[in-house]
Amino acid sequence: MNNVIGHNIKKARELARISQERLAEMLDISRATLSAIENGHIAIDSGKLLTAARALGRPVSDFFREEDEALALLYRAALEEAAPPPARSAFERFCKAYRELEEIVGVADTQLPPPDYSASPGAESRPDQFAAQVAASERQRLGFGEHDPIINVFQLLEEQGVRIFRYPLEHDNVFGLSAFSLKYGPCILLNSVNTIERQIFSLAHEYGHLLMHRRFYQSAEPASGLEKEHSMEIMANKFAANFLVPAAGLRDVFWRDIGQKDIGLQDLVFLKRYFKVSAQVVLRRLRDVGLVQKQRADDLAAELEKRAPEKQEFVPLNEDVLRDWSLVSRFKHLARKAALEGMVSLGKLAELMNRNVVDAKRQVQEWRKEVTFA
Amino acid sequence: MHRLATGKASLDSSVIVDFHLVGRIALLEELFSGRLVMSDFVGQELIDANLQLTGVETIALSNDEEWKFFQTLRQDRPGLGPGELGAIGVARFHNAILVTNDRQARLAAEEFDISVHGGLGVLEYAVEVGRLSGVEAVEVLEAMISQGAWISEELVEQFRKRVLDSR
Repeated sequence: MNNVIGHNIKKARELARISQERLAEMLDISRATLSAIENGHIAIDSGKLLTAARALGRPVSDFFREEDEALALLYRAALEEAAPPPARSAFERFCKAYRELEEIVGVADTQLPPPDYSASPGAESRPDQFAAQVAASERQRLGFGEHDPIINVFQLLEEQGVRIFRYPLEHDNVFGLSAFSLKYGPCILLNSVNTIERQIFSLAHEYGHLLMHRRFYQSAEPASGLEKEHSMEIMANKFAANFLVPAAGLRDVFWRDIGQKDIGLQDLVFLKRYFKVSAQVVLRRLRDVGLVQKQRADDLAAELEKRAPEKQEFVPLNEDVLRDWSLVSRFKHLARKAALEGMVSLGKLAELMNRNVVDAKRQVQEWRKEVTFA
Repeated sequence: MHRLATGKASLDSSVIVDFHLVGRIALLEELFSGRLVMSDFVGQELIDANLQLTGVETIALSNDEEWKFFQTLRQDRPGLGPGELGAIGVARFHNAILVTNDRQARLAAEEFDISVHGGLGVLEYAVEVGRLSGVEAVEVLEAMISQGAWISEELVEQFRKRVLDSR
């Protein structure tokens, strides 16, 4: 047992980039004692373990896991660190809690992960075309064909086993982050500070990475590394655009509802609501598909910029997508089921939901009322 | 004499939160004065929830045997959190009665022959020592239930009879 706790402290300390000296100081022990704890030679007491957990930003349960390294959550190397350690820590905590809930409720491994296209021919030689093809075949696989809009991409992807975690990141230029592991499957963190349009696009973008670049998820943290990262980003954007706004579907709506007269801002509003994306994405797709000439697209882009300053959305979508998803969120369903059927204790529920015990208790009471007075 | 009248009591968060939500946390402090022990994992849960229980001896798990017990229990009962595991560990290694309102924790403790009581037992004990009247105890229980304490109707009815008949 000492080995497990010690090894996990060491691993978490290294990931948090805290020196042995510094952590020893926080725990009020000598560096030699910490070294002996990390090497499993002596036992840590639970008080010190709690201090270590706080210092390293981890739930205390993390230190008891006897987990195979191969099952750990892995990231794709990125040009720069995409999210700060506290956000990653919260993200990993969510992914592990999700899996734990599945195991407790008895529904772990009930679905296959989405397909892995990363070894397919064409990924390297014709990346743009490849991304569009993957988007088309994924739409086909999910039953949307070439035309239909995706009404709720959050719900759709969660149904595919993707664990989606929304977290407020201080910098709104950080859009999202994805990770993959054999045990936890595909996991996506979205910056909840961004507009709903941005979150939808980022979700599809990260999903694209998980489909097309899965073999690159090899790093224990999203550190810099890959030179080809830039082209992978372009591919993921291409995937997201084609996945959310399919060319055939866009043409259909365009000829049916907009016609040959000059396209205006009101048409962009209609199309963005139809496909649940930003006005910028609609405009880009109209250009890509050849439905709008460059000059007109530039004029409209300038109009959009005037009406919606940077980082604001022109005629924002409402957050119904999030509200609807929340009602059928699998994570919430599992937590509710586990709590109401007595499969988890109050302390465990609080830990899994990252809440304190009083808030967890109030949540259970709300759930119970829903069922009792329905 | 009530079984909670002597010996140490190791509380977990479930029972503390239930008493807190009806404004009766002082009752626990009073009834178990000088006998309250608590795992530091439970202590951390209380700190996180901004709750305070005074006059408690906080106990850390420290030796190999305690950790082994903790880890084995954790693996056998994945539905228990560190707080409940710690409370059970403290009860076992410090010869205390476990006081919990959690079904999973109760089952686990019974497996190791650890004496267990819940909020109902605490209220009964309060009536027995004259700290609450039977009617007050029923009122506290009803308030707890309205705040989310989950106790079967059958147990509530039995409790009602016992404390009201004892007048």
